[in-house]
Amino acid sequence: MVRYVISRLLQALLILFIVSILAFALLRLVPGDPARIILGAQRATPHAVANLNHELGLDRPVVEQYGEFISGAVSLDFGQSLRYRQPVSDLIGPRLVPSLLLVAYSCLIVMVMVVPLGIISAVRRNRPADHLVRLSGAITNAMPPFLTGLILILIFSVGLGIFPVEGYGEGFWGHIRSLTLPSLTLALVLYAFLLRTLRSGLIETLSQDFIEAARARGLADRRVLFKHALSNSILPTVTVLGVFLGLLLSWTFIVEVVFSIPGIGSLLVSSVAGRDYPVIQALILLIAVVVVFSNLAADLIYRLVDPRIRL
Amino acid sequence: MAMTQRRNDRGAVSISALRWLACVIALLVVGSASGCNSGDSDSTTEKGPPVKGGALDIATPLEPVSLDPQAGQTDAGSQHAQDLIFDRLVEVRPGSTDIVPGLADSWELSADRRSMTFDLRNAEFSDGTPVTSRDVKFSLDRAQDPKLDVNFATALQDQWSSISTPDAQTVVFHFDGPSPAILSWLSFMPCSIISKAAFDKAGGDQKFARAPVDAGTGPFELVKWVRGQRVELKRNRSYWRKDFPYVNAVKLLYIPDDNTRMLKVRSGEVDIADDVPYSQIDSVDSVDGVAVKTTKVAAQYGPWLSSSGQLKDLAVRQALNYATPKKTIVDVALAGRGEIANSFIPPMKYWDPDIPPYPDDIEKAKELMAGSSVPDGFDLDLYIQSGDAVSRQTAQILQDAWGKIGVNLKVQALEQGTFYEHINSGDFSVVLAPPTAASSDIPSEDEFAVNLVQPAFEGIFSHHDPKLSELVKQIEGTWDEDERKSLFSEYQRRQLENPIGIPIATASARTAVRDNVAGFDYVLMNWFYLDETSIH
Repeated sequence: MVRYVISRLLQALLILFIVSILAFALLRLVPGDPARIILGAQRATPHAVANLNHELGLDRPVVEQYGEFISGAVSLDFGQSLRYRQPVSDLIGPRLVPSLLLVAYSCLIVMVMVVPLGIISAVRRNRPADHLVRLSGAITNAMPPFLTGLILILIFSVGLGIFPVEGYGEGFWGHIRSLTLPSLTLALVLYAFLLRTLRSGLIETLSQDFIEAARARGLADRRVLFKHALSNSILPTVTVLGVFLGLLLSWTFIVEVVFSIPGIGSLLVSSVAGRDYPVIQALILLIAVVVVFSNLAADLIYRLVDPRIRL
Repeated sequence: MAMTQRRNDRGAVSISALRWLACVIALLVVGSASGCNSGDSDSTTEKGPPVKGGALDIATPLEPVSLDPQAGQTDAGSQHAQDLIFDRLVEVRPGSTDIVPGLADSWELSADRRSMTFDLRNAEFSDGTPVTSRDVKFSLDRAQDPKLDVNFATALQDQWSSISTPDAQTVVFHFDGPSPAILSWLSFMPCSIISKAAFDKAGGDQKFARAPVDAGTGPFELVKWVRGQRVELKRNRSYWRKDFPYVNAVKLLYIPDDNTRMLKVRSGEVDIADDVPYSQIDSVDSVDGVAVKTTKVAAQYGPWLSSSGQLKDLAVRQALNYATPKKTIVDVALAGRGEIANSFIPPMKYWDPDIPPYPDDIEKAKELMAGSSVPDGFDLDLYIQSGDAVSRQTAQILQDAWGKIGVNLKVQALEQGTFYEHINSGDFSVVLAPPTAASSDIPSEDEFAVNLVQPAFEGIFSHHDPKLSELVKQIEGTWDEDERKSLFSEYQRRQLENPIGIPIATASARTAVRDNVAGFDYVLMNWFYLDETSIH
């Protein structure tokens, strides 16, 4: 196990190194000169652009710029934002918690939805309840997150006044209240995938001999379902959740903009428009770290839940 | 529909799916009904005399980049917040281009016209310390520092050569030559007066940009700036305009999504929502308790033409102007909010309303094309910014209209950064920016007139009339207001005759204001004016 963890960590470092190079290189291939964007058309004379590029360090050799970036990244120093003229870490730090809270809350909501509905759907297979649950998955899968979010705002904020229209709120419970609709929006992105996974797993498990054996021993259906079937079926769902975490992160960009959440997603959107290279590079690396380590965590949880699994 | 509960043969309890469906439908119906508003909104409620107190919440799509007015940010988000915290020596009021006293209560041009003396009023910063000439010089020296104010330092360096401060209440600007636009430039945001003591206390440019505490003389002072969320301001009790502002606090809430922002004002969670999309003006205005206020601002809307290929031909450029159905574009894309433009420069102090715009005349356009270098027509690329609905609608109208004179327009929607890169580098044939993208920073035509003949622009619009550069030299070379007005009129006419684009309409600021709010307004440069705003 220890050897496995070390091996995965080394792989993670390699992946992050490759991602850093790709992010750095691809950014500079995209049209858009940060100095010209900052100066604007009427002030972007060749002389002014050259001066600003020099001041921002953008006229140095690309290899030198990359070296500075990667060496700084090791100590979490990502340089200065070109747009805000402030340390990138000062910009990103306060925005990490809202994004992480949003993702965590959405994972909680989706599991709370998927487990009971997945059970109902599997147990009542091919009956109206099953059809209805699967229909709900199809509908939510077809709707883009920004539309889902707006509908939720219309119903629960404007209509019922239960949740605020947007924002992050103040204090822990203020954050939870404000993040409920955005987290529900994100949860609905994953809902169909996880529901299908759990339903299939449960149906397959419930048809296994050991389930019949358990019933034959006189165990109550509830015990057979939750202790034997569910515990054996939940693993693939957890794995899918871990794999989809990367997808979830990409959808947070849209949800953060729709709900005005001050997270890394909305920062990335505005930084891309302004070609704020240091911020974009730092965020891409950060997201890569989250995806890589969440996949590792999913595998390790798998092992912990089922000790028979050899990694 | 009966609710059923049954136990299956395995002892599990299930609830009828129909019950769930019924609950969901009921929820949706109730929610929609309570969220639905119908009927006309009363936008002319009698509110009585201004009520003092209360807190104003304004939803804006623009987040500040910096609260330091001399940091050279051109974004409206920064300027909205800075304008509420800081003042300038001179100012403008809503609906006017007239320069009025700000922190200076009088000024005088010397007889030799080599200096201008400003007498400061007895004003205080928000911490009660007096505004002195030392603060003025400190602030304006920063504004002319190209390392700090990367965008405007050069333009401001052209306005005065030095500043002297003979005493604490007097500031003297010295000129190498005529500087007839100096008052307009001094009303501009980078010329805001900041407290030197507060700046020193803040500990440097970066920290000051994040938290300019006790540094301004404006109607409000900074309480907190929560990046990515809001700017919180409170009434400045030392504000030199006694009895103003009326409200005790203002929050500028950053809500970038148009739909979310409109829902926020509809639900009553904010008092004002800025930048109502043109396509939603009528629907938002029809909501009970909300009215959409449209205010003319110094921004001109219309495509710009490059100097490439067939567009070098004057006949082609004029033909495109005649072929453009401006009224249709205003009615459809701008929801009827916009006045047909007769100038490339937003109409301000020296605007000549008597110069006729290009009429919509397809026959004249065809005639010009027939006599041009491309009588059989040609293909043309139009770049618009992706996600901007107004540009998209306008592009469709232009495609149809220009198609009638043989110009086959291909529309490409580009991501924002790529879009502006094409503009800034001159790599385009025709480009159409969103309505308020090209706005004036000062209340006179000088900035636009000067910029449009700058070398950076000459590379883009090299077909422009060389006479315009001569006119600009004359405009900026005289203090005589009548002469300037006449020269500007000639500039406007010549630029229209030898067009570098197609001026369609003057843009408007569009704001959804709840009925309990009175006195909300804008100044021409698209900044909020909240001195006389009250909540009833």
